[in-house]
Amino acid sequence: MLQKKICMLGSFAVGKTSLVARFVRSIYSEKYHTTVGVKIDKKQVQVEDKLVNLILWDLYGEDEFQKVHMSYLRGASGYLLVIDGTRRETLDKALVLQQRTEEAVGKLPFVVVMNKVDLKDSWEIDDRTIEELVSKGWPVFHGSAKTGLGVEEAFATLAKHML
Amino acid sequence: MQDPSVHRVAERLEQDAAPIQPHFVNGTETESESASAQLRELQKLLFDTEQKQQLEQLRTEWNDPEQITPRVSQVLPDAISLHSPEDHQLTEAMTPYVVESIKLSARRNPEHISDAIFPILGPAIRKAIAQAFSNLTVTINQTLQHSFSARGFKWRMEALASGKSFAEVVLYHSLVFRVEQVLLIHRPSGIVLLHAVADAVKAQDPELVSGMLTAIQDFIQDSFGTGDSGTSGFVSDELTIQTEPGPRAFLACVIRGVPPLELKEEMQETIERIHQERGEKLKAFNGDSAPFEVCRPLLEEHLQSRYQPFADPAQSKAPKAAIVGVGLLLLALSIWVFFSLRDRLRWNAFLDRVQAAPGLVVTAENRGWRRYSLSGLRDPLALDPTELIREFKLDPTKLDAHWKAYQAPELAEARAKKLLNPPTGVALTVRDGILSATGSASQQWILESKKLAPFIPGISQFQWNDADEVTQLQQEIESLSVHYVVNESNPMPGQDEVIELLLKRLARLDELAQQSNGIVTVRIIGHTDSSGTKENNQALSQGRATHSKAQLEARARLLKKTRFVTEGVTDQQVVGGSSEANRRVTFKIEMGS
Repeated sequence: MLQKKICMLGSFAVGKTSLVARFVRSIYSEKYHTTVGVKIDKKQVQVEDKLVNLILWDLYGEDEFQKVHMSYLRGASGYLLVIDGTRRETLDKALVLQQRTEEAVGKLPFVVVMNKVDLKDSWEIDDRTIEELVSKGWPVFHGSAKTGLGVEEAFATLAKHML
Repeated sequence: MQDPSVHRVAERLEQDAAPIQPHFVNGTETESESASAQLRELQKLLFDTEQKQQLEQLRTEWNDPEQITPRVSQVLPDAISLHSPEDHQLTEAMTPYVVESIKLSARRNPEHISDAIFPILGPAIRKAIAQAFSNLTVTINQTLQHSFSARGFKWRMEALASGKSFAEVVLYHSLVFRVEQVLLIHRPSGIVLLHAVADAVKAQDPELVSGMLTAIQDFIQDSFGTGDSGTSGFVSDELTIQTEPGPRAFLACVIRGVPPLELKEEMQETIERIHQERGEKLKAFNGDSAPFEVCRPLLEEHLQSRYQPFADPAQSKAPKAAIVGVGLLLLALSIWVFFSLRDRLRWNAFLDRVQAAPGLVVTAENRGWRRYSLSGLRDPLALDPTELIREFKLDPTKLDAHWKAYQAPELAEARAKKLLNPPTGVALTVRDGILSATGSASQQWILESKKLAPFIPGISQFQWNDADEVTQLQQEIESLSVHYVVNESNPMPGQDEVIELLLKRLARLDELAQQSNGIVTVRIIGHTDSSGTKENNQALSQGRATHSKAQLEARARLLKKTRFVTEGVTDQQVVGGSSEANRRVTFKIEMGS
C-alpha cells in the first residue's frame, strides 16, 4: 500500500483538527499541538483501484509561520489549506502560507477547504473571491466540521493529484 | 549493405592523410615508415573486403537473438562467478525474478517447493519449538525463583494492583533489556518503511508512531540546532528509543530496560547496509514501502532480549533462606492455629459448663487475643468460675469475671443445707418452694427447721417426710421376737436385750407419730410350739402376749402415741425349726391417725 505524507495548514482556529477528526485514525491527543506543534493522524483513501494511506500532519495553526513548521513540511507529497469562511484574515494568511510553503518545499499538489460552510450567513469571504482562487487553478472545497461536508472529497482529490 | 558510419570514418581518414605528408619531410625516416605502416593497416581494416565481411557478420550475429543467446549462455555462468559477492547489485537485480519464479513454481506445482524445503522444514520447526520452550523455561524459572522472596511478595502485590500476571511482572523486573520494536523510517517524510515487533509486544500504529518520532526529531533539531543527524534517541523511565541516522532513512529501536553499548554499533551497520543495498530505492521513494520488505530480517536481528542470569535455586542462599523462613513462619502459624483452636474449644466447653451451672447467669462473654472475660449474675453458693476454669486447663489469671450477686431459686436446696445443717442421714429436697426432709433427725432439729425454712429464699414451707423411717422401724420391730420357757409365760433368760431394742425402736416410732399426729398400734402376738393341746396352747400363747404387753407398758410409760393389743395364736402358725423357736412373742405395727 502506498503511503503519502500530507500536511494540514491554516491559521489559528480555522478548525483544521475538528474538520478531519471524525474521518481519521488518531492515537494522539491535541496536547501535541501545543507542545511539539504537530499531531499525526492517518486517513485511508481509495484512488481508482489503489489504496493510499495518507499520513496526515496536522500542524498547529499559528498566525506567524515559524521555522519549526517549515521542517514539518519536509517530505510532504501534498497539503490541505484550510480557511475559515467567517474570518477574512484567514484567507490572507492562507495565501501567505501557500506562498511560503511553495518556497520551502516547491510546488506540491494541494487543495483548499473553505471551512464552516454551515455558518455561510456569517461568512466574510464572498463567492467572487472564491472564484478568483478557482480561476488560479486551485481546487476549492466547502467544508464543515459540523456536518462533515467536503472532507472526503478534499482528501480524494488531493490523493488523486499526488499519484 | 555497408554501414554508413564506416564510410564516414574512411572519408575522414583520407582527408586527414594528405596533411600528414609534409611531416615526413621534416621527420626522421624511421618515424615516417612507422606512420605509413599504421596507415596501411588502417586502410586494410577499413577497406579490405574480407575484413568488412567479418565485421558485417559480427554485427548480424549481435543483432540476432537466436545467434547471440547461445554465445552469451556460454559465458554467463563464468561472468556471474566472476562478479564480486560484495557488490549487491546483481542480487538486487535478480531478487524480484527469483521471488516471482518461486511464486510461479509454487502455484503451478506445489510439490516441487514442498520437496525442496522438506529437508529444512523439520529442523526449522524443531528450532522454533526449542526456542519457544527455552523462553518458557526462562519464564518459569524466573517466576519460581522469585515466588518466595520478599521481593517476590512485593511483585505479587504489584501484579495484583496492575492486573498483570505475576510471571509478566517477574520478567519485567528481571529484564536487562529487550528491543521491542524496530522501525525503518524514511527520513524526509517520516513514513515508516518497515516495522518489526517482538513477540507479545503490543505496538501502536507504526505509521503514526514513525511520523510523530520524525516530528519530534525535527522539533528538537529546529529548537536546539542538533544538526541534520538528528538525535540519537529519547529516554523515559522504562523505555529508550535509540535512533541511528542515515542519509535517507533512519533506524529506531524501542528498548525496554538499559540497551547494551554494542546495539548502537549493530544499528549503524544495519542502516549502512540498508543504504548500500536499497540506496536507489530510498532515493526514489514515492510512498511504496514494498521494496524494503527484503530488509526485514536485518531489522528482526535487533529484536533481542536479555534477562538477569537465573540463579540455580540449589546453589542460591537467598531462596533457601526464604524457604526456611517461610517454613518456620508456616510452622509458627500452624502452632498458633493449633493452640488458638484448642483454647477456643476449651473455652467453649467451660462456657457451656458455666451456663449450665445453677446460680450462674452469663450475660456477656468474650475470648480475646490474650484474656477472657465473663460477666453476669452469680449466687454466692454457685460454682466459682475462677476455680472451675482450672478444670478446663485454662489459665484462671487470664479471666476477668464481673458478677452481680443474686439468690438463685435453683440453689434453695443448697442454701437450706447450709443454713439448717441437717444431721447425717437426712436428705433435703426442694420442689415448688417446698423443702422436704427425709431420713432420721431429732425432734428438735425438725422443729427448728420448720421455723427457719420459710426464711430461706426460694422456700416457702418445710415438710418432714418420715415415711421411710417409719417403714424401716416397722420392719425392724416386726423382725424381733421374745422367746419363752416351755409351757410358761415367762421369757427365757437373756431376752432383755431384745426387749431393750424393741423399746428403743418403739420410742422412735412414737416420736414420729407425735410429729405426724398419728397413732402407733403394737399388736403383740403370742406363739407356742406344737406340743400340747390346742386349748392349752391357745391359753399359753395369749398368756405370753399379755405378759409381754405388761412388761412393755411397764417400761414404756413415756410413749404417748403408742398402744398395745394382744393376740394368741396356736400351732397353725408354727414355724419350722426347733420348738424353742416357736415359743415366742412377735410384734405387728399398725400406723393410724
